[in-house]
Amino acid sequence: MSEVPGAAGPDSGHAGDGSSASGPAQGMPRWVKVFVGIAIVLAVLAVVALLAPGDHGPGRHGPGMH
Amino acid sequence: MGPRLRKLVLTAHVATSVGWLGAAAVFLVLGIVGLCSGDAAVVRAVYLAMDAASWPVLVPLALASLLTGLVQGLGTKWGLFRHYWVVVKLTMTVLAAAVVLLYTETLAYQADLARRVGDGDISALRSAGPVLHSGIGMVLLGTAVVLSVFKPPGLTSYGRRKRRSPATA
Repeated sequence: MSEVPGAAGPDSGHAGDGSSASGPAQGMPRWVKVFVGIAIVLAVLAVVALLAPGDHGPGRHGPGMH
Repeated sequence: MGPRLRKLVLTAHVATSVGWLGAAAVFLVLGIVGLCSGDAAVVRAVYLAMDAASWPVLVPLALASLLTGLVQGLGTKWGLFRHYWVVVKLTMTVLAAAVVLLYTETLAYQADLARRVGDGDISALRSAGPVLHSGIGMVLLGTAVVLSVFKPPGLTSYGRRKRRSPATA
């Protein structure tokens, strides 16, 4: 491991050359399309979970609505 | 940013991000104990502990991780919207931080319930919510770590424009 990872922002180890990991690819890379697909599925599941009656609903996230 | 400041912010970013991941792991374990334990006192203690740790630990770590990440992006040539891996990571972190902030209300509600319910009524207290939320959080934060290490290639259209005109970057 060349650098210590973080969770929110880019590492600065290669900050002097932000292009080092970008490559010549044009358009959206396949791995991004996979991520977007997974995100859409998870978003649909989250909406279903929020709208469904039971343990997890919108009332669980707000004060005075329980 | 100068090299020293960059290292300082990076250190803060790594510390808070890894701390956030660790906190999520603890919440996952507490959530599982809350769901599975047969001891009513333990179940109540679990929900009280999660509420007690949410604002002093979880929220500051999440916000600090997000803030230091933004500073890292804005203060280096990586930017925030030039590389797909940065955009994806930032999106996941914003979502995770938002869920943390929203979920503190639920944790407070469950802690209040834990103070009021008797030993024979802990089934009303048990919730899969903490397990679900911290589990998803760990997946998101773990994925962010992987993206940070591997930095998968791919410039956004904005990043390509900036590369073609570096003078305006």
